[in-house]
Amino acid sequence: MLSLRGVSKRFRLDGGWERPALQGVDLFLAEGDFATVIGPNGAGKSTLLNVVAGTLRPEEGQIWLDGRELSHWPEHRRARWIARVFQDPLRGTAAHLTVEENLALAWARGRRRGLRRAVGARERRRFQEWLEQLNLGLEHRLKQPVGLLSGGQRQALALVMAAATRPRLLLLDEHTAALDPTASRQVMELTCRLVAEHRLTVLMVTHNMEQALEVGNRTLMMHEGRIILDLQGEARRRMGVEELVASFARLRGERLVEDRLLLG
Amino acid sequence: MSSTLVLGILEQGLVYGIMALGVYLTFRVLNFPDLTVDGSFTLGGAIAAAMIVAGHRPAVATLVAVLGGLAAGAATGLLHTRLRVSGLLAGILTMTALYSVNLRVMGRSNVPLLRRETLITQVESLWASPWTTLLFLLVAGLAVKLLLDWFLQTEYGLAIQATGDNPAMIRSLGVDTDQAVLVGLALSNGLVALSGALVAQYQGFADVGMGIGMIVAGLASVILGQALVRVRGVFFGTLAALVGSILYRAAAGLALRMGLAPGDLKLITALVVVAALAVPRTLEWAGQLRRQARPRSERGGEYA
Repeated sequence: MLSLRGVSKRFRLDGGWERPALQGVDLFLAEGDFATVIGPNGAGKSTLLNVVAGTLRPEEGQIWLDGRELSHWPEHRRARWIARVFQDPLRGTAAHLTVEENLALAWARGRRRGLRRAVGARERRRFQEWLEQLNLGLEHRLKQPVGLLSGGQRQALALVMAAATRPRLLLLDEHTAALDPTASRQVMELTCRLVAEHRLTVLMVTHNMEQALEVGNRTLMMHEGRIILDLQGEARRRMGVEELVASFARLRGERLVEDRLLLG
Repeated sequence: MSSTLVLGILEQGLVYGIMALGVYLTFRVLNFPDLTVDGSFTLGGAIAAAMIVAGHRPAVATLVAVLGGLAAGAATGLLHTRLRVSGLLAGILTMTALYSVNLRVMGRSNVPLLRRETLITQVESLWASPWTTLLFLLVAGLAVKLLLDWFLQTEYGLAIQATGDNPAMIRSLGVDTDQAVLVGLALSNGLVALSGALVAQYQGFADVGMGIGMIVAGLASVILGQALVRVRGVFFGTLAALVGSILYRAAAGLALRMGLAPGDLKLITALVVVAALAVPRTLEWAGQLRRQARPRSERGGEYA
């Protein structure tokens, strides 16, 4: 399914300094895997998603999806198989276009966009059905500009747009972090429903430790551009939040010792 | 106002309105400040006039003028998307280069079309009436407007709209935004060149300076139109551009009758755009002052 082999990415800073964002990351996601990604700020979580999506190009390493190497593909070509929801609800939808126009843009994902009418009667009926299943009251607002919706509604819409065409891989970048608690819970419920319904493979960055253990079937912990823990199966089921925090402190400590040994 | 003056204003409003539709496409839809317009408008006039003088059919000359405009827009698009030149500079570079191109195309700075067959003389010979030209330009303007409406509602057109609205989002949905910008700029300047070609045939000459200040006139039209037609969506957006163009020509005609020299018009136009940009900001600022000045209790009463 998805595999990353030795992927490294550095950010250039002023004065020629470089900060490593990813350091030789290896990762394999099997079909149907739902992996959550945790780690402190600057651990490389978002960079990992950006490198997979094609927003950033790594200096080293390869990215494979379904037996195809994507490493040199631009973002818009990868978008055919890889869908994405951003943290900021404003980034996932076009504010001046209507709900149905946004859905039409998503519906055409990966297809050649030609001179067919984007929103015809057939499309409108299809979009209406999608939205009715969501119970968000959006089915009556097809012709309204997305800018009039609340943050939670926009994020739910962005999620529907990402999942609608059954992408091979769904990337979620703290997509509930900017919402109020109620909206955040609703969007998370919707996420689980859509993922189950379409049997999607997911990589989800989150700051919420409980969520990281509850949702999905794998938890990846990142630190300084490396995946330092890959929890799954029985070990993951037995893991609690406190234990997770403790193991992070322990693993980070070992890393520090390792680095010191290397330097020494 | 005399009826010939009104007729002239409507005719000019419509023929320059096609240029305003092009400006609407870049400034409003693509959110790209494209300054190619001053050059591509003249290019359209230059190609049409030179070809008509060379004995080509006016329809063919007009068509080639549109192709020239497409190429000019594509040049700006390539500078911006391939060489990553800023949008403003890319337009200025193409506009400057086009000045030389336009002189080469015409061979001199002014090409008169006196006693030549043009699209305008052709339709006038079909039906002799003072309304003929207006009717022709009305059909042309509306046809371009409806075509643009149709295009922007297609799958690709919608992708161009989204590129102007939220490029990161539409890239994540699989659209090559560089290509969308390129296509949008080419189409916009194709329309601008069409307008230039029709203007040259309408006024009976092409001049190397005929495009100076065109971008500001186009902007003034779009802004004036949107102040009047306040409905969202493409259909009303393009309608506003046409209506705004007529309003702008009416205002210009009025200013001339009040004794202003034609040379002063560009200054007035620039001031109109500045005013249109300043008014919403000033209102916002005044509103903030008022809110701050009133005590809290009074503010609460407003909603009671």
